[in-house]
Amino acid sequence: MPRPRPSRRKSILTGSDRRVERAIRLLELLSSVEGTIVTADEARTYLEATDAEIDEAIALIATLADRESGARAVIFRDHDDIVLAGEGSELMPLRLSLGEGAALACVMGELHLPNDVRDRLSRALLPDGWRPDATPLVAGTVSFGAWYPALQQAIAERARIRIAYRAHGDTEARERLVDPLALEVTADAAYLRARDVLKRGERRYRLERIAAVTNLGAHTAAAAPSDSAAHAAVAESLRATAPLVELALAPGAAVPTWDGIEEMSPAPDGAGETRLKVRVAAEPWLFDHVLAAGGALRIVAPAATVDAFLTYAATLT
Amino acid sequence: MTERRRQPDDGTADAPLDETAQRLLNLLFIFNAAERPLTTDEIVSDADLGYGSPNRASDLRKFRRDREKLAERGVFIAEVRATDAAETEQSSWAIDRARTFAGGGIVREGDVHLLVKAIDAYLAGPAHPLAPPLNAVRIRAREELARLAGELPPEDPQRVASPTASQQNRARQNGTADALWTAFSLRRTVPLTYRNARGASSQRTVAVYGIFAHGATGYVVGLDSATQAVRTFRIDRIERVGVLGDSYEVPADFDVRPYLFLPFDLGEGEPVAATFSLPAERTRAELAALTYGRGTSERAGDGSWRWHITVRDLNAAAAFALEHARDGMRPVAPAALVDTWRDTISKAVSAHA
Repeated sequence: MPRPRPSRRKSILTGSDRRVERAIRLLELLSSVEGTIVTADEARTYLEATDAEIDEAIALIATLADRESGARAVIFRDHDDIVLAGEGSELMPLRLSLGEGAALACVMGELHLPNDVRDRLSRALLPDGWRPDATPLVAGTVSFGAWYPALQQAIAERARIRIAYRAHGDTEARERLVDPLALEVTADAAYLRARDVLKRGERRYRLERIAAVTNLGAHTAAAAPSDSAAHAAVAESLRATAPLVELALAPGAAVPTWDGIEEMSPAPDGAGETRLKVRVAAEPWLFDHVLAAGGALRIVAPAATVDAFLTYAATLT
Repeated sequence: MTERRRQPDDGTADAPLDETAQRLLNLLFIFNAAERPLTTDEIVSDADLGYGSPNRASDLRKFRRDREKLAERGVFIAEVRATDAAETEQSSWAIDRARTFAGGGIVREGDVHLLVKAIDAYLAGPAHPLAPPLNAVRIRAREELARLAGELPPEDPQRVASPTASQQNRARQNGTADALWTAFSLRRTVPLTYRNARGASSQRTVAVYGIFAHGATGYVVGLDSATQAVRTFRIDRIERVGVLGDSYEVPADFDVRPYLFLPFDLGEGEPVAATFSLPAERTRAELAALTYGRGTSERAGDGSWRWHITVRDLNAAAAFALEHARDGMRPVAPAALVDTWRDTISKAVSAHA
């Protein structure tokens, strides 16, 4: 295992480092737009900087000059705009840092961006010397399957698509005709939110279970609701369709963090248990969690769910 | 020449200009504007630039340090020497443009739109550990769109307004995460104070080899000075980071993916080779999502999958298989794992008696 290679001197990130970084970023931003003019609000957003920090960067840039060539930077505030002028002051965009490059390579790989797009983005942006076949140094645990580009294109075009999807319990993928609305990502999985055309209802599909996507080209009227509206719709749908199940959690057991938990309270008998009331859209999902808890999680009601659980458990052994 | 007094790090608008920052930026400016390489003498004798002291050796050292500082910001000033130049000729310097500047005219507008959407999708979940670098890449991508279209593209209103955006903002402001990404980018070791799962605090210095997101939690993987081994550290258990230290190189064959841990990796027990089965209809993509690409998988004679993986905690491995029982996951070997799995089911059933 190679050990760290000592350098002759230490390096720290100082206030000067941050000032240089902000000034370079402001020059890059101004150089990117026609007329080299941006609003102060845009500068604050892009640089994630305060107004005072932007003014400080402007003051630094305003001193830049080259006596030999006569070039000098002219930068000033014009009301709420920041204007860059002066010969030789524009700056081409810099390549990404090694950390940013590793993160970009991770996204391009995990979302399966097309090879030609990855190649162009890599050549344009990644640090010099980056090998396309380099092993990943940055990764995530959420799977985006193999169809992200096709799904993203369909969402952007509001195109109806046919997907081959294998739900839990299905032995093979079945075709669904859907109008895609949005992609959703939780801590564990990525989903396509879409309107099932035949069932006339909104559904979520885990991306790694989508086996094929066919863009039918027909434009749909479906538009993605905002995140908050979507969460409200999902919660309402759960309340309307998913039965409420009461669970008992043994003292000291890890408390679940599921979305469908509606109530949590100490057990009335004072045994130290915690009672949970949970909306359960799919019983096998609940049963697997109860089994995995090995007795630390118990279904209290309804009785029919307890019976279904015992039947399910018996099928496993 | 502007006033040269040290400025406090809080950076107030009316404070005197930071002479170091000014010198570094001026160096970048003159090299960016120069139409020919500049000699060492032209640089170190230029008082306007912030050199030109009576001590030439000191100015030469200052110029070298400034080149290193600019390199840390992604600006590479390289020595230029003609192939037939005599050894006695003094050095000339120019920006290494290929290494410094992004390649112009390569990407297409559609590429950049796809990249921005991809980053938005990747960061769409809870506050994401990869948000600091990916937000920086996203900004670069939007600037590239501005270059292609002439103006900054309008921001997606949902991204601006959504709680997710504010969560990401909080993540961006996380000083520890930013420091770790900086150390990783600069390939500099970072001293840190780490509190482990048992609450014990320790000081160590880490050469960060990789970073990964496990759900909404971030981890760094690196060579740990305390154990001289490659270890994984949970970012939210790092209580303090210190001044960046020595430079290092990430081993060429290092791959962060084997460090994406599963629940049964975390036990104190001896590693045991285990095998699980999954139904034939599961696709490779589903398998990859379940296993994080860990271990090895193969088709058995009947077409079903066999997944081979080392486990340290049999109870956790049995629970993992049960959490995926509806997907058809079953333990196959060793017998102790199968027995533990059956025992876990029995306990769950008995609790309902």
